[in-house]
Amino acid sequence: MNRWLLALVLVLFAASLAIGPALWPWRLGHEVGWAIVWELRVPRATLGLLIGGVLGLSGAVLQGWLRNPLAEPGVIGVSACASFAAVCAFYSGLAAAFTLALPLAGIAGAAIAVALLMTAVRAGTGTVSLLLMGVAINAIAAALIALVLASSPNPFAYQEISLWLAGSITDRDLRYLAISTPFMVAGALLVLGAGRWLDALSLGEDAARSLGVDTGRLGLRLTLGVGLMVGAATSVAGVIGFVGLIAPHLVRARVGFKPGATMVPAMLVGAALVLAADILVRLLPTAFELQLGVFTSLIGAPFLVYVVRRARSAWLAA
Amino acid sequence: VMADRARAIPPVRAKVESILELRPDLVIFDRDAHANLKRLVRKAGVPILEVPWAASLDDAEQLIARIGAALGRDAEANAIIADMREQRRRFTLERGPPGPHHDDERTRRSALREAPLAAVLQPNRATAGKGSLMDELLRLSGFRNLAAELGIPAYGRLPLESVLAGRPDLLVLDGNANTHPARATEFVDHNALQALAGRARLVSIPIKASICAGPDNFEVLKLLGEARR
Repeated sequence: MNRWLLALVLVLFAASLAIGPALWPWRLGHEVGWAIVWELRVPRATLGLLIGGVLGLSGAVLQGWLRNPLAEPGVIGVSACASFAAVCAFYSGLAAAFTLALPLAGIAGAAIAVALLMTAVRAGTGTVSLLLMGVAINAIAAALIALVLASSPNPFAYQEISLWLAGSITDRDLRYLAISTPFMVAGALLVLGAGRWLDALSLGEDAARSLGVDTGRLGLRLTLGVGLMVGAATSVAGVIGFVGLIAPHLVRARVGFKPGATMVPAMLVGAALVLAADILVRLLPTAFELQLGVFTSLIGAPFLVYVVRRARSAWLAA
Repeated sequence: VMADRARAIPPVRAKVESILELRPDLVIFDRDAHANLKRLVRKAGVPILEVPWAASLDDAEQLIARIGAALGRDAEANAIIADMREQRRRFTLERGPPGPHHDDERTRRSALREAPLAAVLQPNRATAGKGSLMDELLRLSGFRNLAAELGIPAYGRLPLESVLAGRPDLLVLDGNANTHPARATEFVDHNALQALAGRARLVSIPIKASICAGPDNFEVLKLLGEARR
């Protein structure tokens, strides 16, 4: 299956490079054509590939680790915390003075949210309380963002942040790619290497400990990995929701419901989803381009309803 | 500019209580302002004037005349309007000497085709499309507007790729950009725009002079006229 998914991702990546309002850019001469492809389409397609991949992978990790089919960076507040931290770095002027402040703040915000959520899981509460914790984290992050914006001297603050929070990878340049890629790749490597232990962890922390897994260190590793991936992705693209929810669900049955084996195919499906959605927003005949996150929510929120309906009987039994 | 003079007047939050506290003789509302606000002010016995949004220089002249009439200061309003008309004549690009060939449709069209092309880049990748104030000001200055030619509506968005592909002769930027950190304006530093260096001229227009129709717009026409030369 992975080979087919990889082929799909590569086709979508090539399509993303080929599609844009300028059509065939080389007809505009070497200099402009080169700028369109290298400075506009390459960052966009590569960010779509990487961000989709890490969101799908984060969803697979969180769902396996928290033993919760609804865990997803956007739903449980990880993306919102990353956004808040990135907004702080941006409006304080820190990001202008020190370029890496933006992804680093996003990573810190995401990691803090994951750690907070883990306390809820440790307390032995069920699916519902984890989701309520996510609702609370989302609400706090949204309120804090509003507070920061209300004290910003920038007249566009509200509009630009509502646009940015809706998620987009349009017109980002290579600098954004450069500051986020190392973190996303490092986070992905951290969690991909922990697949075997994730399977053990899905049996519960006690069972995992009895299998010889150092759950404390593993928890730290996964927190850091998800923080790096979601934090770096959110700080350059805003919130692109539901990709982490959909991707693992689409592949789980095919890999025998093993969390570790879900990771790679979920990553590939995530990349394919974001690349395809980003191509579609370019082609839709809207007056101006729809935000990517708006589009993934349009597809993802009904999917959430579907997952909840299917899972409800299982919760009632629990 | 108007914004500088307005700074001398203390701001009032747009709440009915704070408005009534000032015992105004007249409250001017935008036609689209909240109906409940208007009802409350009218009930308090304060006369109100509802005006439409001015999206062009003609709109602005009409608006000034209406407000002048409502305040009983027609003479001042008429003086402002006369001055605006004079300035508009002064800053509008002459399209050749008046004469028989001025009416020649073909000459006029070819002159239009040869007119330099301008792309307006505003915060949040917004642009001034068809029917916007900036569109009118560009036309008066003898520029074609890239966004309007692409069929983008008045407050639409213009992707950078379309800017590059359109190969404009002039980039119109927001003069207030980059004074505070803003995601809205960071695209101006996008490397891709380097490809237009040497091809397109830059003009930066203070947004406070171009956002609303009125006497301030002539500063925009002056800057555009200088860029045309």
